[in-house]
Amino acid sequence: MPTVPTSRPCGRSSAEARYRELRRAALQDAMATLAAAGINVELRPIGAAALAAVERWNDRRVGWPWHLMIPDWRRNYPGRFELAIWQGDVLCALALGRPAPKAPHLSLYYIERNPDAANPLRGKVTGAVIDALAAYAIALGKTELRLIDPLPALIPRYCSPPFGFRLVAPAVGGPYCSRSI
Amino acid sequence: MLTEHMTVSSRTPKARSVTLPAPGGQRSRAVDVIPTLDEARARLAAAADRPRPWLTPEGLAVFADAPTEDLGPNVYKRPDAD
Repeated sequence: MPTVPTSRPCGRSSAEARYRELRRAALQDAMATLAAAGINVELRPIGAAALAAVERWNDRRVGWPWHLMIPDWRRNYPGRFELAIWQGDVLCALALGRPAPKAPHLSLYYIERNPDAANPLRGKVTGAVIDALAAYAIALGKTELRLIDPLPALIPRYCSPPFGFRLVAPAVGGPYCSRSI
Repeated sequence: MLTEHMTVSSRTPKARSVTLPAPGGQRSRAVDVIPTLDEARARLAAAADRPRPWLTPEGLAVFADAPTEDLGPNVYKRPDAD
């Protein structure tokens, strides 16, 4: 009788490959959902083209060093959530997060929107990222999304009824927004 | 002749082979249990009709006039600085 693969412990190189498959499945699921909502974008891992494109963005709010962040996170977090949103040859946004190893949440640590006024996904980046994040959380069996270190000015938007997050201010560590899925 | 100590030592590498190595010399982490692709696809299929209020017209209006949609700290915090 053939054995059925099930969740199991796994070594590091194998973990990287298996998480890559899970990310691909989640991003495909989210892309179909977004297309049905009229948002036609490509959701990809953050590759060399994205790292080159972000360097050409002007007037960035912080200017996070994605060319350093991606190698750091790849080395440390095989289960990371990494996302580059493209529309045609325009890079619309980048996002980075990771699952908690022993808890039921998936945390998003960074979103950077292409600040160009001509960004075709302007105003829709957060919804697209949250949808992809939720898909990856479901794929992993997680039940909670967290947005770490939210900008204070955006918290009311995350906590608005459509997004449905609530603000959590723990005694230790910074504030985050949380919602169940 | 093998001593008991040597016998135990020879088993140690096998015991470690299922544990995700600690990144960058940090302290050891728990074994990483990863869903299979089939499990993930089944979960996604089962959740296909889940509500996605952020993609409704009301949801898409929430950030329509936001000056930024960035999330994160004002400096990059390296993972080993957590």
